[in-house]
Amino acid sequence: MRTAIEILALLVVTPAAWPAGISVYPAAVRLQGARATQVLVVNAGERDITAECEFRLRNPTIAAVTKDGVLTAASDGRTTLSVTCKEGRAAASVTVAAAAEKPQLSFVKDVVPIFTMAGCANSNCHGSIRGQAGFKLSLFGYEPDDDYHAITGGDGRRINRAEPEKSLILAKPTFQTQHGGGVRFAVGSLEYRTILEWIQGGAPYDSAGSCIVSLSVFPEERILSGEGATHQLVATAKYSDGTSRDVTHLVQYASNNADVVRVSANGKIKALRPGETAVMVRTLGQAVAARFYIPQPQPAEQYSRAPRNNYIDEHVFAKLERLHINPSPLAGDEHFLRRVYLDAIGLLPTEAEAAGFLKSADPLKRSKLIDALLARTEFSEFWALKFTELFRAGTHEAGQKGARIIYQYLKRSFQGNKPYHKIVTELLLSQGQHLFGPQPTSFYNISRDSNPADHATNISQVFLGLRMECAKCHNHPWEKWTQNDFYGFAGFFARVAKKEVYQNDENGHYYAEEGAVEHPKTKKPVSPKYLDGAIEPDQPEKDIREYLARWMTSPQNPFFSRAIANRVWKHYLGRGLVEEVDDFRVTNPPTNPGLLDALAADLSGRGYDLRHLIRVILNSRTYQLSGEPNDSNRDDTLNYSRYFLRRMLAEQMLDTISQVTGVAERYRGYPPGTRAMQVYSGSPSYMLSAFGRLPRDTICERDHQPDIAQTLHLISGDTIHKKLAQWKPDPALDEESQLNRLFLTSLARYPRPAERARLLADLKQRDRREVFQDLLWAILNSKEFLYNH
Amino acid sequence: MNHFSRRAFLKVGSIAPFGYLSWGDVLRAQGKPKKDISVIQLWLGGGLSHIDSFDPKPDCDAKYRTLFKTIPTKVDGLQFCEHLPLSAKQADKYVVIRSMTHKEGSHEKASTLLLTGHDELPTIKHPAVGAVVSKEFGPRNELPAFVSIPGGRSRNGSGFLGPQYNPFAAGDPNVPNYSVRDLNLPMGVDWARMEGRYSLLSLVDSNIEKWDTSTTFESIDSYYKSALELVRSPRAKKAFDIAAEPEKLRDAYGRTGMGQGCLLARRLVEAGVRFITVSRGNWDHHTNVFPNLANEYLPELDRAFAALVEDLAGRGMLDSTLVLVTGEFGRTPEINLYGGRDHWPNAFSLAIAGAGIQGGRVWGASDQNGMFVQDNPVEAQDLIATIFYKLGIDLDKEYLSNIGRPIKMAHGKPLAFL
Repeated sequence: MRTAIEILALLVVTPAAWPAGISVYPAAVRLQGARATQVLVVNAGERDITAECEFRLRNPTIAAVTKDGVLTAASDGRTTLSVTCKEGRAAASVTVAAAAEKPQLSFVKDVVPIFTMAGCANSNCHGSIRGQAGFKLSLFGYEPDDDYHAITGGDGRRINRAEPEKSLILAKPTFQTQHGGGVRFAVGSLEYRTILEWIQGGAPYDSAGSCIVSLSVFPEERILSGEGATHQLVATAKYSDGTSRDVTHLVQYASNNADVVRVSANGKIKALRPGETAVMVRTLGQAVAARFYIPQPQPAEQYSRAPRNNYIDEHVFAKLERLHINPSPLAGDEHFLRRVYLDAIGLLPTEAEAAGFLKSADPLKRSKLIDALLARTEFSEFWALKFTELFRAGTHEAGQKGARIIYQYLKRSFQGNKPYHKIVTELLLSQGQHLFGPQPTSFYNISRDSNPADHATNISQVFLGLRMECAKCHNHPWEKWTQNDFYGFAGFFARVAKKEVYQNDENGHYYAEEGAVEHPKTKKPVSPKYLDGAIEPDQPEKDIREYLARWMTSPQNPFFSRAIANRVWKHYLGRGLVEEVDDFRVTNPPTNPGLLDALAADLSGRGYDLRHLIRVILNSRTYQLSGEPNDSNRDDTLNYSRYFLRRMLAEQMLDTISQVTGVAERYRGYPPGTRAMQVYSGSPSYMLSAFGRLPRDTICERDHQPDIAQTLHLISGDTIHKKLAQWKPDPALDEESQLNRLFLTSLARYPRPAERARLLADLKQRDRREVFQDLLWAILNSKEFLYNH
Repeated sequence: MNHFSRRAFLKVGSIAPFGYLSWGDVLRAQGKPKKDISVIQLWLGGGLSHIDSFDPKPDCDAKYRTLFKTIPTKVDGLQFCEHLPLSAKQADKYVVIRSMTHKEGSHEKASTLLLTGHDELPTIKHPAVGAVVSKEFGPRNELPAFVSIPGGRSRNGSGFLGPQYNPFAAGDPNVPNYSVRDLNLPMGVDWARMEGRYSLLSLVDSNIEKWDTSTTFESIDSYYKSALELVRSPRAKKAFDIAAEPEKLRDAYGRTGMGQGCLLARRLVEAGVRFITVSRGNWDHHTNVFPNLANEYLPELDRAFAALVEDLAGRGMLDSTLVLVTGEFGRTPEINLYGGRDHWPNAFSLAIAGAGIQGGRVWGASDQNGMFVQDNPVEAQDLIATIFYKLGIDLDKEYLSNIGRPIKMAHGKPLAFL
């Protein structure tokens, strides 16, 4: 099995420069046994020109080739396949061995994949946990043993050894008898013939050696020429006996976005519209993905002219260039100003800060402002709150006090610019009474009955970006993680023990001298094991979490730095390079692998200095692009060709509404003057809950969907109206200055002429305070206020 | 259970030779227009212990046995546990299903299954039934199509259909001086002033109006329109004014969240709301199941449900209103160390009434100890398909999900006996 590092390394291959001429895949074909076939693909650059080529074998007695480029074995020996087309010539070597041998069909290699390919083993059919109509297959064929018993056991009707054609396993999917799932394949099809021949051969189960160890797909990445372009995929499986073979016709294909790319049952993809997506290839519990990009029809011209501020822009603009997307221009000062305040510290600039920045002619004013904001306490509080939420602190008996300890620990750590890997190490090793700091002692106290499996789930998801939960009950359906991997990882937390004194402040977690995790299937204790790594034998005198922390935070760990780089990136750019941010999978590749690697390397190379990474991000031109779309980037939602608009977080809304009106919000259980961003636990305000603050019962991304309850609350709710009722104009200001103040403090800009004219006219006719209250209402309800842009 | 009453049960329970409508029936029905039926769903978060309520097992093994007595109902041969006396008197108006079954033992997955009719998946957020109704029919007037009492939408939301189909949270109608949050203009703001504000808002908004490349800004604009209509609506004010109900009727429903919620639900149906969820959580009796049920949970449900079906029937509304009482799953027949019962999806009960369903019947049966389904199992998917079928929603209709995969509205088959 390929290690994750290898896989990530493969993903970063970018076919930026393609040699001219044509190439054949695979360049060396090996056909073993009478049944072996090989699908060939001929590329000119990135284009699939197989259909336009002519194939000729130097020695046609060795093998045969169809005009679509499918090779089959004829007799043992070696020969050369020559390929000719108008773009040029190419050749591949062909080796045939054991051509006369027709080996017994393998249940695992040949039969089980059919059930995945034909959709039988999908989760909504026989692969469902309940099975379907009394017949249950393992999900996507990850448990061939169980499948064998399901097919050959029971009342024996599924396999009819006397009259194989009458087996239910053939009659159902071909719809010769009633089948709720309809026709899955035809009588006489390859699928049909394979199963039939297997039954005729006695329906045996394989001996060892037929276990699949890896699946690969060619190509892994392609830019298609445009709408209507096609490309053939070639899937190759490697088995535990060292053999490998072409399984293009034996795997299931699925497009992650079927509006952009469609894929046929035999692996031919077709581009439908500009965009990008991955095509998943799956069999026997293995899955890989191939990425496809369909550029806009017209090449864009502005890349060469768009300045690059740092390596981020190199990666982002290079990708945009390949996709023919023009980035939006640099955002104006007023947009940048408001954006960077909200993103960095969650607040708006004051009147003086806004006016000063807009007036300044200093060419370095943006980077100076970034430095100033990163040094502010509110910056640390913002990240402290985000992580406090991720850790789901304060949900259970350690409650608000426990959450405060975590929050304050994090705030202090970010203020002191403690390296991220040190923070994580301290959290992992934490122990002690929950309600006594200063160490983050309630980190393990997520729920009342949290156990090693819960810790494994949470810690892998939060720090490594891996959703291991599926593997708790069965092997992961879209990833390589097995139940053994999951419980091996949980083994590191086997000795994390609770000290419980009923209703006593002394409750806590400590590291016990012994303890083991039991595998639910084998019922045997499991040794701690790194993900994709070795076993770490438990030692009673050692805290093995120290070894775990060392492994996790090592720069060589492929998950750790990428996961945090991706989280930080999402915070500032609105979308993770991997989305969701905690769902790193081979089948969910990053949109810009090179950029993610560069961010991760920058972070680990700088001793996990988060402020450094954030400074690089905020200084990039990518971050500072305008939010206004142009014709070429209107449909882009993945490649940061403009600043993606997003609604403020609930905390940002409440804090900025308080800022603009000058009336602070009070939170029950917190001292006066507390900002929403400092409310580390609970949701002591209707508005916070209505706008998406989480109850923290799961590790979830917040829901940013607008709804009518939010709208009603903005229109007539008491959050805004209590503040408007207390608001008074400043008697020292004339009307113009008062207007400027309201606009600068809320939208970081001066009123536009139409707004100014309308308001000055209103002020002539109506009560001054009422006009300003109405203006405040309109601003606080506006998208320009509620959105970061 | 003795032989005699077992026979009586079968008499009550034998309704149709086949469990499901044939596809022919379904297809014939799908050509027909949608029906103007409203739905009130009583949601018991956690799970109702079936053998302590609608499916008593007085003759089961001692370690499973309920502490509650068994009482007769208005229907000959049908018995409930003693803490549902008022519902027992209305038993001729609804069907009890005693053979509900699924495989999800966690709250999250079971809730998703019962509220949406789909398995919970990591990538696809399925819409709740109320959201589908909202999407398929739209609102009848300026009131929202889908209301949730008191609120909450984690698994009772619009999923991939989009936020405009989320339920409108009505709050808890059992609080003194109940009113729906934010439904009145603030003090000192009349409609003339609100219109002035709104035109000012449009002026400010024009600045970045064109920057949104999704439909989010559009939906926000439509929310402002609907929200203002709602605030302006005398019909909405009247519908939510639960204090206008006679004290006696309010008492009959019970002065509880569920009681007043059911009463408010009836008022909302009258005002045109299509789908109302009335939720009551904490039916998760891992400890002290008997005192909890006897002193609080069952009496609250009993009063609310009985009053609702009686009231709807008395007003001639039951034929056009579907009433469903369900939890996430049943509770373990075996009583645990803490005097509680744990999660048990293998067999559980629910009640369903209205929309032309002939009451006074039982469907299916669990085994002697209430452990497993013995006759005519009913899956959640079939229940949801039945609701759609009753409303005339095309079961085969597919929606494009958030990950671009088409999802069929319902996977189950409608139940013929309903």
